[in-house]
Parts: sequence; C-alpha cells; structure tokens
Amino acid sequence: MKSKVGKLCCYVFAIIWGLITIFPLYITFLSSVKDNQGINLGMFKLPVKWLWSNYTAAFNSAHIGQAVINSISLGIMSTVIVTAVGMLAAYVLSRKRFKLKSIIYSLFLVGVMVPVHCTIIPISSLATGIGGRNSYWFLTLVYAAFNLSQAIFLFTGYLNEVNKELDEAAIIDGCNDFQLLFRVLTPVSLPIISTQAILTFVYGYGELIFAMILLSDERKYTISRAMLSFSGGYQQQLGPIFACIIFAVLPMIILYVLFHEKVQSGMLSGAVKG
Amino acid sequence: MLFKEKERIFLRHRKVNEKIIIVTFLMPALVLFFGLIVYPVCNTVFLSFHSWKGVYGAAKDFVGLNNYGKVLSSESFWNAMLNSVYFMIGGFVILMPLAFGLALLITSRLKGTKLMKTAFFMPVMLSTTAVALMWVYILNPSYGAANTILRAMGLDALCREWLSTPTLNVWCVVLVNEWMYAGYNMLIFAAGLVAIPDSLYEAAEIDGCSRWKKIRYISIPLSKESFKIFSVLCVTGCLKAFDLIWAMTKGGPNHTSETPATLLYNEAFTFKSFGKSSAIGVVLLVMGVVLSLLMNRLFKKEEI
Amino acid sequence: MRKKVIALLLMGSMILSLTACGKPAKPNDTGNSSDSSSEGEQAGDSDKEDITITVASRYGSDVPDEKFYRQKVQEFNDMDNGVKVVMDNIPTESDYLDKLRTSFANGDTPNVFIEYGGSRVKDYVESDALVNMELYYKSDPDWYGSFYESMFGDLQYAGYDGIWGAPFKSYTVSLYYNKDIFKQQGLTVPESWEDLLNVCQKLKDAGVKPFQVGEKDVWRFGHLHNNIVIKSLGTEAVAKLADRSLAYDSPEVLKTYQLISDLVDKGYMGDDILNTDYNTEKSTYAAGKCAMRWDGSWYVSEIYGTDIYDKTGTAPFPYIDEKYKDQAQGGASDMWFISKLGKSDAEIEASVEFVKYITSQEYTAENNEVASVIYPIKFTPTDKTPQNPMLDEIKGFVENYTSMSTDIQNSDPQSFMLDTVRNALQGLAMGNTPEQCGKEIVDRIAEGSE
Repeated sequence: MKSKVGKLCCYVFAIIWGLITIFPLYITFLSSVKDNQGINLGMFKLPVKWLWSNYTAAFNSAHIGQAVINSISLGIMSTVIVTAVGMLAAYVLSRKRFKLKSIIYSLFLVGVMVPVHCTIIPISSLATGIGGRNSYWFLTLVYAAFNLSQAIFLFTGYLNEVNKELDEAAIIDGCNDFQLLFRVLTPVSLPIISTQAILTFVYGYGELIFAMILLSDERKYTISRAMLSFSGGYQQQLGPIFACIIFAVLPMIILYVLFHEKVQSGMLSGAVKG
Repeated sequence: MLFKEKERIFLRHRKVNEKIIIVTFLMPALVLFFGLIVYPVCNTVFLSFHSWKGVYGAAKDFVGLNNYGKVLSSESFWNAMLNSVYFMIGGFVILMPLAFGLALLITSRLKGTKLMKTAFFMPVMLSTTAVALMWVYILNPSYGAANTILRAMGLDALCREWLSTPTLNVWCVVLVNEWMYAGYNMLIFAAGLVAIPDSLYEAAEIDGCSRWKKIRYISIPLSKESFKIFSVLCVTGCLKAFDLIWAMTKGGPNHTSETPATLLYNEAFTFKSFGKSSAIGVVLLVMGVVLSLLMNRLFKKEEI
Repeated sequence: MRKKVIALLLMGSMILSLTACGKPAKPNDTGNSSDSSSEGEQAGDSDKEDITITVASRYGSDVPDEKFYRQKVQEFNDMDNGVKVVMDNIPTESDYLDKLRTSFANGDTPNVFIEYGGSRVKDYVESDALVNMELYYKSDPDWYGSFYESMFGDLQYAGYDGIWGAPFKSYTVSLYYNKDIFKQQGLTVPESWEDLLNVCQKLKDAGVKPFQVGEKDVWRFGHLHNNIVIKSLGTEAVAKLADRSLAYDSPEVLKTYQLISDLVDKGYMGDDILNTDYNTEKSTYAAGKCAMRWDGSWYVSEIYGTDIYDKTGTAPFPYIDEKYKDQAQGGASDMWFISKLGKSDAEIEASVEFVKYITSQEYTAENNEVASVIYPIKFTPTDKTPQNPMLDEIKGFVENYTSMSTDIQNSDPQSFMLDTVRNALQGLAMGNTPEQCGKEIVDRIAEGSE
C-alpha cells in the first residue's frame, strides 16, 4: 500500500516535471509559425495565421539543411575525440601511480574553470598561425579541448569507483593495458562515456562563438551561425529563428534517443561498484 | 603462493612498460590541453599585468597589479561575485537534490523512463535563445504566465516585476538555470547510479528496507563520486555563468544581475580594456581552483 | 552492435564533412563568396593576379537593402578590375563586434569593415591601425563632395588630424505617432515639451498609453536622453560633456535626467518598461496599443508597406528650449573603415576603390529603390524610386536642422561612457533619483579606464 502511494507520487512528479521541460518545445513550435508581432503579443496563444513560410525561409535564406549536417559532423567528430583521448588519460590517472599524477589531474581540473571569453583571442591567433581558420579540424580540436577537462574528470572519477578486482582478473588473464582499457574498462564505463558523449555532442552541435570567429566560409556555417541571418539591423525575425531551432533540435533528439537507449539498456548488471 | 609469484612477475614486466604507457596515454590529452587551454590561460595571466587596448602591435604597457587593484576594489565586481554566490547556493540547495531525484527516477523500475529521460533533457537541447525568450515572456509582469497565475489564485500581493527587481532577478535566472540544467546533471548522477549492483538493493529488500532507506544507505553513499563531480562542476560553472544571464537580462537593469563573466566580457569586447578583463579571468580561475581544492578536502574528510 | 553503430556514425560524419567541404560554391544571395572559390577564380585569370580583400559588415540578413548590398558586391567582383572582395557578414551586433575586435587583437583584420565611429573606434585611430582617408578625399574632390559635410563629425578626432572613414548610412531620431488615435482624442502633434506632456496626460486620462518604451534595451533611454540634451542644451553641450567642462552631475544635466524621471513617474512611458524590449515596443505600437514612439529613421523602412505605415505620422522630437528647436539627434550611423594593420599598399588601394564603389552616388540611387532610409550621400533619385511620403517628410526635417549630433557619448574620450550613461539612465526606470544617476556616471568617470 505504502509503496503504491510512493510510486504514484513518483509518477506525478515525473509527469509534472516532464511537462514543464517539454513545454518549451511546444512554445518553440508555436512561435515557429508566427511573425514577430504574434510572438511578442501572445507567445502562448495559437497562431492566428500559420506561417509555414518561416520554415521555407529557414531553408532558403539560412541553408539550414546544410548547417544541420555541418553541425552534426562537428558534434560527432568532437565527441569521438573527447571520448578516445579522455578515456586514455583517465585510465592512466585512475590506474597508474606516478610522480606528477596529482599535478596533472589538478591541471586538467583547471580546464573546467577557464572562462571562454578569455580564450577567444589566443585561440583565434593560434588558428591564424597554424592555418586553422575555416577548417573543421581545428574547430573540432577546440571543442574537444573545452570538453576534455570535464570528460577526464568524469571518467577518472568513474574508473576510481570501478572495482579493481576487475583489473586484476584481466591482468591474470594476460591483458595488456590496451586490452584492459578497451576490452574490460570501456564497456563497464559506458554509462559515463555515453553521458559525456551526449554532453559533448550537444556542445559541439550548438556552439556559436568559436564557430563564428573561426569560420567565415558560408558553406561551413553551423546551425547557430546560420540562424544569425534572421537577426539583422535593428530587428530580429523571431519566427524563422524558432523554425531553425526546431530543425536543429530534431536530429539531436533522434541521436539522443538512439544512442543513449542503446548504451544504457543492454548492459550493466554486473557488480561495477564496490 | 603460486598466484602471488605470478603476479609479481607480471608487475615487474609491467614496470618497464609502465612509463611508456603513461606517457603515450596521456600525450594526446596533454597536447590538446596545453595547446588550447594552457596557452590561452598563460596569455590571460600575461595580459592581466598589462594595459592593452586590443590592437595588434600596439604597446602592452606593464602596469603591475593595477588591473587587479581596480577589479578587486570595484563595487561592481563584488556585486557580480555575490550574484555568483546566489548561483552556487541555488546549485547546491535546489539543483543537486533535483538532479539526483530525477536521476533516481530515470534509473528506477518505473515505466516510461525512456520518455522521461528525453523530456527532462529537452531544455539543454533547445538553445539558450529559445529557453531565455520563453522564460522572459513567462516572467513578464503584465502579461506573463507567472503573474497571471498568481492573480488567478488571488495572490496579487505576490506579483512581482520578476526580472527588474534587484536580487529577485538574479534568483529568477538562477531558478531558470536549475530548470535548464537539471536534466544535464541528472545524466551525470544517473551514470553513477546505474553502476550500483542490483544485488545490494535486493539484499536490502530482503532485510525489509523501505525505499527511502535504500536511497539513504545505498544510493547516496555509493554516489559520492558523482556528488563530488557535481560540486566541482557546479562551483566552477557558477563562477563563469554567462549564457543564460546574458540572454535573459544582459546583466541589467542597471548592472543588478551582472556576473563576473558578463563583466569580463564587457571589459574586453565592449570597452576594449583587455588587461582588466584578463585580471577578472585570472581572479575567477584562482577562486575556482581554491574552491575545488576545498571541495576535494571536504569529500576526503568525510571518507574517514 | 554498438560498435557498428558508432563506426557507422563516424563514417557518416566523415563523409558528410567531406561533402560539405567539397561542394562547389553555389551562387546564392545570403552572403559570402568563399575563400576557396575566389582562389579558384584567381587561378583562372591569365596575366595579372587579382588582389583579394576581405570586407566585414553586418549586412547578412534578409532585409532588402542588405540583400542589395550583397548583390552589388557580387557585381563588383564580376567587374574585371583586379580586385576581388570576400565578404564576412555577421548580422548580430555583439557577435560582429566580438569577431572584429578579436581580429584587431590578433592583427588579422578585414581590409574594410563597418563600425559606428566616434569613441568606438578611437582606440584604433590612437593605435594607428586605420587608414587616414583625408588624402584620398583630397585627391578625389568629387567623391568627397558627394557626402553631406555634417556626416564626418564622428570620423574626426581631436589630436588626430584626418578623416578616418567614410559614412555609409545615416539616420535621425524623430517622433512617430498614431494618426487615428490622435484624431479620436482630438489631439494635435506636440511641438514643445509642454505640448508633449499635455498630450500624454490627455491620452492617459482617456485610457490610452502615450508610449510603451522597451527600456530593457538600454539604448532606448539613451536616445531619449540624447534628444532631451540636444533640445534643451543644444548640440554645443555635446563637446562640453566630452571635455568635462559640463559635468554629468551638473544642475543643467541633472534636469535632463529629471525630465525622464518625470515621464516615468507620471506613467507616460508605459507599463513594465524594464521588462519590455525594443521588439515588443514596436509590436505594441504597431498593434495600436500605444500612441507614440521615438525612433531612428530606419523605422520607416521597417514599416514601409505595412498597415501601420499609413496610420503613422511623424514630427521632429519636441523641443525643450525653443532656441534648439532645429537641432536633433542624427548623423552617420554605419561607416566604412580601412585597416592598415599588416596590409600591403596594393591592398589599401584596392580597399579604397571598394569603399568608393560602395559609397558612390550610383550605388546610393539604386539602393534607394529598394530601401527607404536617409543617406549621407547626395544623389538624384531614379524614376524607379517608390513613393514614400513619410520619408520625404523626414528628409524635410533634416534639411531644416541647423545642427545634428549622434549619440552624445560617441564624442566622449572614454569608450565606456556610452554604456555607462545608458545603464545609469536605465536606473531612472528602476526608481533611482536624477542625483543617483549623475553620481553613477561621475563615479565611473573617476574610476577611469585601465
């Protein structure tokens, strides 16, 4: 009886919270078929006239299709780098003993704290110096670097919690470091890897400042950069901006659902912590 | 006996390779890190001791600690710091329990967790632009939903000018921030929770533990690492909070909702005082490091 | 299975990014011809190598005159004159400035760029980063003569002889009112400040909002204050405020804050003005929910062709001291500047050529066919120019004005002043007293820059 009430409470809470988090999607959609006046004078009202033309504007003026593809590529590339580089470092930081360990670990920690606006000028001058302007590889590395600290932080923390018996068993089975990391520890760490992967992807997908400063070739525009074309002069066209946001969020939701479910459902029943 | 000997041979063999492994595994991360994080930070530290108007080739005059003096003695900086502290308080008092609760929900055996996960994570996926615009609208005193609901409930006295009353406006942004990032931090907590073996819960169930007790004595203690990670990310995130406040209030009205990061931004890109801006950056970094070290201490102590 | 998914995603991303890079440049109207495509054209040219210059502007959005700009740059590139222009258009102001200021800090500036003159580019002039265009004006008097003389104000600096850029767009701030509402209430258009107060009171008594200011955007009161200062102390006060011989907390200036304070206190400025932004202000006016607003002449081009255009009348901003009736806020807004940071002489010559092209009378006359704004350049309208009585009326005001000034703090020696004053004025809407407002500004001046 008691547990039933508890369950009910959980459901009620989940539904209420779910509603207030999903609500903006609904509002974004409504706004995407209105003009400025419709949005400014009644954001929650149904549109008087459904302006589907905002969507064609998003396609024609902002080339949102291309931009979505660009953003997805950037997001995936940075995610892959962050995951690979981060796991390698985290493995050493959690499993090895060496002199500079705590210093290196704290150094990575500093990375989480750097305010982004301090780095714009040095990074942009670096880009000029090594030919990284207008190139995705440099932008990818920047995104990776900015997510790396948090990734190493999360991965190391997680690996520290993973039962060391797992390693010992693997070593006895004759695993070397590579095998131990990629065959044994990586699968066990999938929950945290997928979490960080999602966060990195969301970052790389929607980042604006560096994408704007480092890219000037229109065909390489990312989604946030492409959206700017609706906010010129003294006025913003809010409707098409929201249409772009809808276009931008759809692939993200699809990837999120596909990826996260795959990872979290199948595995993980074993004794990981202890 | 035999087992131990075998292990020893292994370990000796490994020691030879150990250094190589450490170096090669750390190398990619270090290269990325030094190139794109440490170098800009050094540059910031250098600039913070100079006066520079941001024109290439123009002299960078050494001014010693002047920039720091100006920053630390200005009222606006400490106001902004106070606003950051509000963000931190909100982070620990509201965001942490909320995100942990959501993590418990989505890792529970309830039905529909897939849907919940996607829904809870939605605000982060939508851009800050959309989220900010919507909340600004909701909080509008004359036609926004917040006051309309209050009035409908007969609570006219509680109606406020949410985003233009000093302090209250910061708290509004703090709350929107918690709302937006609850899903984000939920993922971090959930990753730790799914790793807790089911057998522990089953054992507790056999012992007749209530749901609450299972959370109290299994979930929370075994998520200590997640809490530590959250604390550090929260403190540092609050120190450099920028996007949401910029999108919702631009630090206004009349600077009342400024955060250190918005000050830093304005000093550099509006007033072209790059030295002063860098000094703010360094102060934030130092504070971040000190606070995270403190936090690490705190969590270590509790271990004993 | 999982590995496959990841591998597939990876491969997909790489293919996508490859195709993204390899696609040929398609002609489009939104923006830039890319680096790669212009390089390709260079290679195709036979004997002489083209000079490529980069031009940074905010003209990347969909509005007609920005589209026109991009089209004309395309035409410039199609001319066989040895100069190729690569555009970088970032529409949002803060983003544009982020990139521009970063490029100055790194020394890889665009060759030609848009800025707003006055104190905002003073640092670049001081650091000798800009081309002094005076020489080019002297060698081409016709070009120089095509600009209205008054437009060079924000391009000149005491202590730095020269003219540091070329005006491209101009504006003046005037009053717009809803003719229907005025007719219904039997009101006449306010000429003086007392008229304005009377009109406001009558409107308020009749239950109509006189104004609905979007003071969430600080420049709204900034512009109001500019007008109040100019119409009560004259444009000569601008220089005095800049050299501090007229203090920001002197009784004369305090009175200007007081006037704003009064408008707020009497409820003439609208509801929740701190929670209303500029866009909402315009929507409110367009919906007929307030009777008046002040704005730059660009507003005419925004409403041209919509219902509210026909309902709107315009008048000069009301005067406070009759002596300054014919002075107003206005002048050049967007201006072209040429950078010389690490640029070759040939690039600078090419940049000048481009600026001449884009500020030519032909360009302006054609632009006038698609955009209804006022220009810093003299030109003869073509036959294709659409009828625009409201704009003609504003042009009439401008011809009458004896003196104009842009944002007062544009002439200030300190670049933080524009922002400081605007924020202090925003304080008035929060209930700060004029004295507090003055003190806030003076304190910031005392703190100084770096």
